[in-house]
Amino acid sequence: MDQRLAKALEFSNFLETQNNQKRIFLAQYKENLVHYTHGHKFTVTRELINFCHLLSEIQDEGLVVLDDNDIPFVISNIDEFVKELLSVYTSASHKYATDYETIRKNKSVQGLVDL
Amino acid sequence: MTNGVVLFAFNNKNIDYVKQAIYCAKRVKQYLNLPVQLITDAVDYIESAYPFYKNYIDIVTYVPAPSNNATKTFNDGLYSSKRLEWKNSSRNSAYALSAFDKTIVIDTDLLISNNKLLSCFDTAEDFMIANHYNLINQGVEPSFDRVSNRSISMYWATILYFTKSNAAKTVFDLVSHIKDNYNYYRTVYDITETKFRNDFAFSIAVHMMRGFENSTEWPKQLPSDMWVSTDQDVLVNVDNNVIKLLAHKSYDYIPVKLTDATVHVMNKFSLNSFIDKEFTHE
Repeated sequence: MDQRLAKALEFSNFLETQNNQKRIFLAQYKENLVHYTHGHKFTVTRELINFCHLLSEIQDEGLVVLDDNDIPFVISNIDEFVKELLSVYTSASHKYATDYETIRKNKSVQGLVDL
Repeated sequence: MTNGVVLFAFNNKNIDYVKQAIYCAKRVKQYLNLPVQLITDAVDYIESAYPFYKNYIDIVTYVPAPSNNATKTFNDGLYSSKRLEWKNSSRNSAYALSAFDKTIVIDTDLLISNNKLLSCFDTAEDFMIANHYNLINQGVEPSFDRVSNRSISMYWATILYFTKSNAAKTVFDLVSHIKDNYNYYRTVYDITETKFRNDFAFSIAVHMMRGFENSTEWPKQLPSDMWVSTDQDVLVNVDNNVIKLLAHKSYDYIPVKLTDATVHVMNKFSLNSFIDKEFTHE
């Protein structure tokens, strides 16, 4: 095969694999941001963390937030809940950053997926 | 209250679902640490072929294989396929046969690599079924979003959760009724495929029970990821939580690597080949 064509196809394969891995990492990041607690489902966002943190400064009992299904969740310990949200957020973000680093570092199909 | 996982396995002449079930149970133990019940017609076979199965499967329940005489084309990647028996129509008996108060039912070709499903047991829901999914290679498949182009949302019987409750019993009873009258229901719901599929029967049951509406209020979303690899893809290797596959595109493959993901591997041939290698250590 013409080397110019071979190189172009190799790059095309690399780009396709890279884009698919990027898509997988982002989808996993979004799924890892979902937090289940006391039968409620919360997608952890910066807004939710800030809102709950703000609530904790105003009052510490009888707090209610709506979960992803619009079901009210009575928070018994707001500090603990904020900790949980932060833990989910940092853990998901850290995994995403680690996964993405493999894309940044590897410039070949073999490097991306170790096959 | 007891929590556990139920698996179904009915072998055909080429695919050893019992072997898959043992490997699946091994991963259930590793990531969910739950008791596993296997429902099968191959009680003698599992004892003789896989004596180590007791390390992973706690209860074996005999039921005769379903006799619906269905066949299905099973692909082995892009370039090979076989037409084989498909004995998949027993899922509606899970409610009656489960030994647990709260049960997760999964397909034997589901590779669990995280503990997300444990959140099922903390919910107040009596019935949940997989709906959300991701393809390992987007853009090459016909969509799995609906049971047919002009019909209702697709739910996957690949992962089910239920409690011993009236609501869950009603779902399973309705699925049995749909199974008994499948030709009628598949016509009503514009399903062209003639063979019975659990996914379709549960999708119809869900649609009927929520008032014939496309609501998302019930059932609630199952707390798990589900990555779908079709039978035109090839499983290359599994190393604990790292799963490597070749995902098909038009006439070729691209390599894919997934970590910590729940993956539905539809290529039974490549899954069985991998498990053969894995079981040499047992």
